[in-house]
Amino acid sequence: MSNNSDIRLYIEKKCREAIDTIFNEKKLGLNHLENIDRFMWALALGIMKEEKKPLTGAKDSFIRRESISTRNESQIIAHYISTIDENVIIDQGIDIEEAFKQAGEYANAGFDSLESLINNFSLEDVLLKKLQEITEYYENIDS
Amino acid sequence: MRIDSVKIENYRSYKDIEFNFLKKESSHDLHVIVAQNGVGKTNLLNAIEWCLYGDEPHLGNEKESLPLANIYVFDELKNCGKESLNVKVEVIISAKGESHKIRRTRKFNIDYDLEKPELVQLEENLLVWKNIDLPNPELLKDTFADDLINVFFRKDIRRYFFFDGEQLTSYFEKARDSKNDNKIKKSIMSLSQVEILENIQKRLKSTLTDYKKEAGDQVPCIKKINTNILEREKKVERLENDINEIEISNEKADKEIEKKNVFLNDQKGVSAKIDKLNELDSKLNLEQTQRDEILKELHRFIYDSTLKIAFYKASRKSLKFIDKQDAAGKLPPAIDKGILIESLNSKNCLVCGNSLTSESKLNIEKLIETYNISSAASNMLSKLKGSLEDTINLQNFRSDKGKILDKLKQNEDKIKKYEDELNTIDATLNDYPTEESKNDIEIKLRDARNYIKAQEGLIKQNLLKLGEYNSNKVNLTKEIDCLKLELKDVMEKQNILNAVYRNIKFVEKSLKIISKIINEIMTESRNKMEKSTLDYFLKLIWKEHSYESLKLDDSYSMELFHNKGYTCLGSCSAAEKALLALSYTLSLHDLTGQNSLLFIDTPLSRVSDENRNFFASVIADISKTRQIILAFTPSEYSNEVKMKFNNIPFNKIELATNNEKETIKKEVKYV
Repeated sequence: MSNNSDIRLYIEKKCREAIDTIFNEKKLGLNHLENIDRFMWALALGIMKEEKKPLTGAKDSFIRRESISTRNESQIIAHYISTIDENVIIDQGIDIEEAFKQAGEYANAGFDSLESLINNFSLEDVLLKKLQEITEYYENIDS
Repeated sequence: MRIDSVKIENYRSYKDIEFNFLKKESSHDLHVIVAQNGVGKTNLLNAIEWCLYGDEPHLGNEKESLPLANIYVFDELKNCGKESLNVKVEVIISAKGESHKIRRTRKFNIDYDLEKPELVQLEENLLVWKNIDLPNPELLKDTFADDLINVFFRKDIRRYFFFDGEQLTSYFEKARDSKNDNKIKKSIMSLSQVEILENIQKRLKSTLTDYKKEAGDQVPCIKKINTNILEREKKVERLENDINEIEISNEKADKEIEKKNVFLNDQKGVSAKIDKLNELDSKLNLEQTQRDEILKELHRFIYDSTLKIAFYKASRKSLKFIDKQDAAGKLPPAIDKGILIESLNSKNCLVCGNSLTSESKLNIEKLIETYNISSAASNMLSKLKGSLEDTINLQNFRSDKGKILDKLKQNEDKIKKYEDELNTIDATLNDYPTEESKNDIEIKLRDARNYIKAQEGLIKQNLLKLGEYNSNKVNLTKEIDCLKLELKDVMEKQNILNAVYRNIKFVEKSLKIISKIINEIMTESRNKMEKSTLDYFLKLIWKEHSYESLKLDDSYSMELFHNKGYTCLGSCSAAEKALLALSYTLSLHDLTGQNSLLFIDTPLSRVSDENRNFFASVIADISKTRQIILAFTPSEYSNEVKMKFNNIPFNKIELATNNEKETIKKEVKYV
């Protein structure tokens, strides 16, 4: 396991460029969001779609672990825990680096879906589509 | 006086033409010229005025007009290689059995050195032959020629002989341009011989000053009092001038305000609609700004909810796992498992340093067996538990979503409502019969409002000044009266009842009498003119019961009163104003006793068909006493007019153009 201070969230370089376009050009009206917030949103979208996209291309170091709040880190780790066998945690503990890697892959997929939406719909339409998506997800959350 | 003939050569649309306005033994002196617009009616009027006064007042924008010389004659001369061109207008006038010939010429050189040959103006000459019926008529030039013309057609009131029907309404606005430009009053004073009295008045005032100086030289204190009186009188005179200027300025401002108000009223509610448009625009902007804020709020909500919902399952699963481990007592306190093992091996407690008893060893062995999860993972799980608990709270999702969507809906409804209202007003404004864009109207309206505001401000300031000046004037007049009493006392005390004193008294008395006579003459003239103008107007106007009286102020500016007592000149139609101007002119002729001709260009351009017969009747009547020349367009010379004129003898000249190059007489009918 790596030293905690070296752990970072990574995404693909081309994904990083897409983020700049999506957020910095105010296309979503949320240009004030921190990198970690942007990442968490993309991660959430990836999780909801249950899609992972391996970081096959050039990686870009996106956020250091120190810059991540306890709450966000907890969410990342909780998701990781939910995907692995309990006994592995009992026997080997929690592999933070692995948890972060997995988060990067989900966020990659999330950014992808966001990018295609942004390019094809207006801000309002994107928001309404997202609202519809999370409402449907919410309705079926306990199933 | 009348015009007997007009001969024109190479002037504007005329090449070579002669108009005879003969009267012979006819009972009426009426001459009708009929021509389409652009054929040469106004050019005839301008030709006469150019001949008499050297300018062309009915030309409009002179800079954009064709040259004074006929351009087709110019072309012909150019083609023949001629070097010069002469423009000539000759008018023969007659009065009291004497005829005079007035001729004005302007010579042009044709400059062939330029890229395109051009006319270069050379000298202009005015010649007048007096009494042309005599064997050797006297020839007058320069100012002598001008003076003779001025005797018959005073330049300062020329527009009351040579009328432009299109510009009749401006006759009222220009009655009093400024104190020094009160041409009507000056002319009336001159023609009523008040001018002579005024000159006497001036001479007497100067004599009075001399006598007072003489008296002052004899007694120094008298001199001092006289100086004081004189100083104050000069101050009063200056104040009176200033007061007069202010009054003129306020009159002008009032008229300007009235004009702008008429303009604003004429917009038929456009003003209110544009105000509403602006109000809706700002409301719409506000709602659109609010919409941006609501969308941001929605986005924040979507962001927060996405995270909560996306991690909900994982968080719950993790918490269950942690709870299960905790319930099984598998989550250790904050003690490292490694420390326990090392303490057991060294038989010493690494925390307190004491040796382990057999009982302690047993307890440590039990703990190591129980806490089989590493302490790092255990700590992590404990930390997770604390921060995940609030992330699984989704109770408010529906209500929060509902609130934001309601806000968005309300905002959308308002935007739609404002947009619909805006479109309705937009459509109305687009229907407004003007080629100007709404922006232009809006700018004009704003300018008009600002202008009114500025003029009102000016009037307010002027009134303050006026109050101050009038109060100063009253004080100074009182001081002058006191000084005059003092002077009288001193002179009586000094027993200077000598010749000088008697002369002063005589001149002062004479001045009073002359002032009174001037006032009486001017008041009488004004009263006569008021009555005569109203009489003419009531004859001309079709609404004979609408108007009750007419007043001329000191500067001969007119005010008309409705039979209900209101002043109504401002609300008169253009046709009514035209007829009023004509009435004013006719009474001015009567008053001045000039019995002059009246040349009216397009007299009925603003008078509707049904009122033309009134006009024709009055003109027919007037033509018994003076020469009337009317230049009609064919549509003005309507059946109503023809019917009236057919009962009386009159001359008719119909004009046409020769291939649009030259104005010619198409048909002439002399009585």
